[in-house]
Amino acid sequence: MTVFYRPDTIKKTLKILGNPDQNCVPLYYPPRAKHISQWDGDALMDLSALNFDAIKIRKTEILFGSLVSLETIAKSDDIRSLWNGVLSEAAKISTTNAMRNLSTIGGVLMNPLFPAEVVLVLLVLDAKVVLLQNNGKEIRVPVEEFLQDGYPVLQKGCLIKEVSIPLNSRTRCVFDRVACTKSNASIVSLVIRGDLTQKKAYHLRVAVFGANSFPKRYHQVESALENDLITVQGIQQCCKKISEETAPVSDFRAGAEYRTAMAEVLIRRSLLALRKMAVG
Amino acid sequence: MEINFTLNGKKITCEAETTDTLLDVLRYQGCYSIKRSCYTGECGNCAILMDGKLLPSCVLPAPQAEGHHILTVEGLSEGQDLHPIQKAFVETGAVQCGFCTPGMILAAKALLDRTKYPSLDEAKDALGAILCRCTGYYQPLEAVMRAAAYLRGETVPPYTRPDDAVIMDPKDADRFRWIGKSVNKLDAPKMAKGKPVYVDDIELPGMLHGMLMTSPYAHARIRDIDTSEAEALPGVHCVLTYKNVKRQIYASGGQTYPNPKPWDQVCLDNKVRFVGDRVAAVAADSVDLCMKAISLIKVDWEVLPAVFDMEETMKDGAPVIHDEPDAYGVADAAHNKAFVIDAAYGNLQKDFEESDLVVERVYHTQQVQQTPLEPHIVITYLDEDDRLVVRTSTQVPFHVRRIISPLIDVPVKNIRVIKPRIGGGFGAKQEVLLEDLCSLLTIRTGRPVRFYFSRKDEFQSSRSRHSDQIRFKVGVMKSGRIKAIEMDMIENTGAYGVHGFTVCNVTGTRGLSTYRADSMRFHADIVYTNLPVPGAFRGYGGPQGIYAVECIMDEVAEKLKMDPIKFRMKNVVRPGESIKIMDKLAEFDPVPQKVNSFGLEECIEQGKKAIDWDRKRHKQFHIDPLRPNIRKGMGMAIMMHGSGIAGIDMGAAFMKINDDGSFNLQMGATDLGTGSDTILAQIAAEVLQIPVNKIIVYSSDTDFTPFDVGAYASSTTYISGMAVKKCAEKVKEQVLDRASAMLKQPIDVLILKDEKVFAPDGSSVTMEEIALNSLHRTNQQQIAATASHFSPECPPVFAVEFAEVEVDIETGQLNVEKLVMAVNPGTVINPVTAIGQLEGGQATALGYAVCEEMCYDGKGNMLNPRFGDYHILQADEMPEMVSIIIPQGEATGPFGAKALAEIPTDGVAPAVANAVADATGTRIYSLPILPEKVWKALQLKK
Ligand code: FES
Ligand code: FES
Repeated sequence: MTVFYRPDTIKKTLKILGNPDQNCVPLYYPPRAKHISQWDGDALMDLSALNFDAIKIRKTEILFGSLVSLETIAKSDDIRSLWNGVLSEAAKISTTNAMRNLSTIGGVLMNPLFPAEVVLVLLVLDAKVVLLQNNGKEIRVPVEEFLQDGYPVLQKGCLIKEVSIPLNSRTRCVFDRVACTKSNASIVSLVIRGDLTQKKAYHLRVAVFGANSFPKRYHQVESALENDLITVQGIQQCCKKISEETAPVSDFRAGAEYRTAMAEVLIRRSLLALRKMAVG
Repeated sequence: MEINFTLNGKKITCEAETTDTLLDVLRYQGCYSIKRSCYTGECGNCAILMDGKLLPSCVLPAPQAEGHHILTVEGLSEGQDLHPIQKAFVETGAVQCGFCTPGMILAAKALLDRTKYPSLDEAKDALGAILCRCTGYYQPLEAVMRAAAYLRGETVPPYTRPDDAVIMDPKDADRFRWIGKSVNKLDAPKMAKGKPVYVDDIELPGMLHGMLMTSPYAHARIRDIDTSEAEALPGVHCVLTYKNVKRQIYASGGQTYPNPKPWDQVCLDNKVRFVGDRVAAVAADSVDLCMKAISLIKVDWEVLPAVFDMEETMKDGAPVIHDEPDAYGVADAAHNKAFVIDAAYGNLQKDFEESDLVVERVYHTQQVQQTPLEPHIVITYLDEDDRLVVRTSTQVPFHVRRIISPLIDVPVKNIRVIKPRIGGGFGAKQEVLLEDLCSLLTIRTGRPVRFYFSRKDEFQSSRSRHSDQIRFKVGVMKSGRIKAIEMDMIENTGAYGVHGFTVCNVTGTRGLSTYRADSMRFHADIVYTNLPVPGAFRGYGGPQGIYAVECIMDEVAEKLKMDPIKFRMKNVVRPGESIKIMDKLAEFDPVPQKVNSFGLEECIEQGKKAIDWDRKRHKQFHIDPLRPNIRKGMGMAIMMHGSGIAGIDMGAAFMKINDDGSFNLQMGATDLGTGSDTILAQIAAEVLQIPVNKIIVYSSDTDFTPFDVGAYASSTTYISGMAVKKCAEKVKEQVLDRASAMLKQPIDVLILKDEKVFAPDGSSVTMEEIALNSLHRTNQQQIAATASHFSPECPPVFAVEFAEVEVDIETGQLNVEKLVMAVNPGTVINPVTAIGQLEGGQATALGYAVCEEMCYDGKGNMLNPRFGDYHILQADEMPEMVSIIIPQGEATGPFGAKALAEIPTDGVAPAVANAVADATGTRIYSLPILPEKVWKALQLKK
């Protein structure tokens, strides 16, 4: 790796990225830092001159530039006031403040397997990745599609410009996790979202890390909530589906049996917490 | 490529490769405050402020600095001045080894630039980015708050917290001028300023880089090794393998001569015994070239079956790990037993039969790593007389010199070992790990060589704490009197037996010396497996033994329906009593030991108060109606730990006067960051009645400082401190003698005070006048002395640890809310540094209790050899911690001091385990107490 680019326009950036003879890697720093030798590619690219580090709040969506740092997300009052603060909390728990200063939402998307808390939030909030294609056109891809089995699908020559999260004043979220210590990596973590009206939770979304080999939406659990009614029975129905979704892998942090059990505990608790928000 | 940036206010233009880290480039620019520690962005010791933001420079490609403003601690203050943040760090004792200090100071600066009124949580979050293994974070947090007050322009009172924490008999308060005073650590300012004080902070002309090629297999024979391609690579200067290095059997532990058996290592062997074992060593022009050369070494491996389990390894037919004929002192190589210990007194069988209750349990403890923030590093070179100089981060410079001499075929007289400041050791550096190979590379190439461990190497190729299986059996009478104790253990010594016997001996000693019993038995098998090698780790076997004994004693008390404290106090050894089992457990000849100073009752009383122990009796303490899945509990443990090794440890000191009445104090003792240089200076200052800053301490250099066994076994204050005291007393005699001649008064009427000698008639001479007179005027003489000390005793220190926890009974997640430790370390020489030892030790012990563990796959590969995965505790997750010192003088120690450094690592795990039992009604019999284990135990109970 001998070349380092610092393009100051999108046009130049896309041209470099589109060069078929070179594999140039944009520097989206992940929260789990890479040793310098771990950036695969034969050139590195610093995107900081492209102004991708702004948060734009619109009426129906929020746009996070791909270089918005996790520290900004963790500390921003605007973001903390949204979605019950789960995005900020997820950013904070991902790593230390020095690494949060460096790592970006783009870095999270390009390295979504671990830590995955921010990905979980993006999944439940139906976030979309705004990609700049090599021809300069923008396309929007749902995060769940962008991450196939946990791996990012970014075609050569493309660039992550932003992440868009739709806004809905009724959206409520719950974040929960199990870890050995407060700042230790999660063994299992989860985020739940519902757009609440009285006893209903529309657009129920459940995303779990640690009970599968990658951060995953639990669609069957979500769809088990009949008529969107967030009742105790409804929650029980959801919980019955959990075992169909989990496929944990044992590792040095915990075994598969425990991970499955924790997914159940956290989902049940979080659904109950969401219900509490709905019914007061 | 060329990069331009502003560094500490100055414009810099320099050349850098895309693959250069900003860390390395900034160090080339002379910013030695930025430390090399993990290179994975996880420790923060390389932190910089870039445009005001705290960033880890080790993961930033250097070109990323282009156009930015970078600040390091070198840019905070000039000359002797200290920035208010640096000042606060020095005053609060937040600087121990100092390796993390520049990062901490910058983290504090980033926070205080944002707000001058930080909350404690904000300070914790800020320092959460910087790992520190020494302090336990409380003193650094206090430093941040104090610095904020300075920056707000407030008048800040002297730092007092440790004074509150020391409960001193009022009559002792003014007994001393310098003893018992919170003198700032002498070396703290230079470390707070990020000065180049560590091994790696020098550049020598023509210096090569050394690197170890390590084994990818847990057990394999090297049929052949071909280094020709590596050697042919331009820029590669030397490759060492078993083929070109002398085969000399040795033990790598930095221990007293002769090293305890077994001696089962050679510098480079044709067999490897764990993943990470030595295969070859390379010296080349750059680190990259070293890696390239290693990739070109061809090894013809014969992979052998491996064994990792400590019971399996002893069975007939298990792979034999040490089948080499020249291994010396291996107890039973065919069954992988490095050593076997047996010790007993009394009639155990009869006493168990007569007991009203017998409880038997098996405990497991895990392998954990010391994780000094400064990894092992050595720089070797030949001086102008062609003598070998070894500049190394070691706890044992004199042992290093003796041990490497036969390995490299250089006589001791031609080796000089220099120990500069050390970025933490915790036992890992009581070992000869790189010095032999680095020296050989220098000898072969004639050039300076820098050789270091990466963080991954540090995890798997350095040393660690032994994992043990400990079976305890206790027989008691209904009255609560203990009749018999049996302790039967297996210690996993990994691939080599170094420290195996002595650590195990301490595990047995600590497990069996706190309580009396009519009979006791200790048996231990110290076994080889194909795992990375344990060694010395702060506590040295004590944490394992005390964990097991304090858990079983708690359970026995519960079964007897006795208060756990009353039960313990009924059986604990008392002053004047001898510790019988220690007669049988000794490194060399047994040295009978008895208890002198005690203080445990006072410790318990104060500790109970601090944690509000009596809440535990009320049901509502355990259950919170608002959080139905949470249970609260409290637990405790008592601890006893020795002060040095009786009859073995020796320290020495040399002092001389200078023209201005100051003194050089030269010590072989090794300050690991504990502040021992400062407290030794306080001891000398007290004897000579001069300010501490008139003592210039130098330690250690085998050419210039007298012998000392080194920093281990909690011996520095007790042993080396006494050597200093004796030495200073000899100097004092000479000072008084000279003053007597000058004042024309008999010696016995003279009084030494405030840097002067006074006669009864009011006449006096200053220390400076005495110095000038002795050096230049009359009967010229260098006032100087040397003294050494060893002790036939190692007086035990007693302490108590309390823990309060919350357990989530649905997930098993454990949250330690509060730790309280109360200790009688004898006279406390420096309260600030003492508190730092207590907090730092407890923080390490808490990690041991709740999360740290070296984990392996089925092939012996370590699964978590990076900080992020291994996880040592951060500032933002520390529980409330209260440390109380109840000093009660020990007649045999300097000014009544005993020891303090290791005992804080002993009691946290059992106190937490007992608190979990109190909270949940379920006992966990292995460490660490992970959520999964608690959950499983609760499921079983259901
Ligand atoms: S050396 Fe950079 S974070 Fe550890
Ligand atoms: S003082 Fe923090 S690592 Fe030593």
